[in-house]
Amino acid sequence: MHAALAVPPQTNEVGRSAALLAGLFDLVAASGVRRIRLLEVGASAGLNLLLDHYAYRGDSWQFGFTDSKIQFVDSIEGPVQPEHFMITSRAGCDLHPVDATTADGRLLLTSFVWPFGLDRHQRLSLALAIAAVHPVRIDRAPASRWLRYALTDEPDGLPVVWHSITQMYWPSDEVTAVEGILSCYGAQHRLGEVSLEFNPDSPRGAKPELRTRLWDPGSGRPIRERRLGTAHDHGIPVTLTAS
Amino acid sequence: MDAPKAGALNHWDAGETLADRFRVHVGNAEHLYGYAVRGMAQDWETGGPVRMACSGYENAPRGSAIHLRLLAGVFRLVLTGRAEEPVAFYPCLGGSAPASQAWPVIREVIGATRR
Repeated sequence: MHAALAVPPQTNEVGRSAALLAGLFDLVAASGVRRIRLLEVGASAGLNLLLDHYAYRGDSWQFGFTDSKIQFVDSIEGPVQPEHFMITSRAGCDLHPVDATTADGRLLLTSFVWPFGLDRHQRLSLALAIAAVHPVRIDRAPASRWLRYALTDEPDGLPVVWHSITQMYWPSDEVTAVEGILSCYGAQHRLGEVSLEFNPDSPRGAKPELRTRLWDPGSGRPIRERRLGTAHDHGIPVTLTAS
Repeated sequence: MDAPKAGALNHWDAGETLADRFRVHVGNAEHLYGYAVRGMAQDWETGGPVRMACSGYENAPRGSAIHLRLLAGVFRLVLTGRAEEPVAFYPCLGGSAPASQAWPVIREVIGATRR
């Protein structure tokens, strides 16, 4: 049992795909680019990189794979402005990546979901089954090292860096390093970011904030920053407040 | 082990001792892990199997979630059939026994597998 304490908590909350989707809607609308190269730092098993394999539905919109076994219905509250887009590539990194295609990986992720969280267990189980058919490569690396080669000069599409509930675990120099990489890359290339992170300046108990940033140096415009709303730690519900 | 960033964001894992930290996280929650973590806190203070299992982790950085690591270890034993009694308390495995009665069963698992 002592050995179990050496295993850091590792969850891969699939519900955060709904927050990521809302962020991508915003970036697609702002950039006009509908081909997304998705990069996740702190990706765990990469289950949220498969967001287009899940189905999402609101009052007057839908997105994703309609027949997916994972259905998010009315999971995004507020003014959703859906956009069509496609994920042209997906990749991720984590200090402790989990291989969702192995029994050990599935066991690890399952063990950190509280046993009475039936919805979370169901979503995880279904997502693991999807990941087994559509495996995603997650490199073992800190974000600052990985992004240096993951952010390429490829001209096609919009690279979007996504992260959720992970920065609170980073040393401050890692946060600074990643910010420097994004700024440097964004000064030369179009780049998007979607984040779902706790705001250290918010009152205790506040929900994580869903934010986007868009660098578009060719437009001559400054970095576009939006606070779209908040979400539960586990992703849903997402509550949008921006118009 | 990892060294999560200490700060206000990890207030849920703050306290003088591990027992304090355990209690801060679950408060008076009346779910399975609420009862289990409060039981773990008391067991740590009275020198039970939790104290031994957590040896060396007394000063783990805030956010390390030592209690969740321990419970995940128990859960893995349950999921792999190496500990059967807790199944009755785990709703995701079909269990429906009262959560308030789970701690002694979980403590038994921790005690039986200590180093």
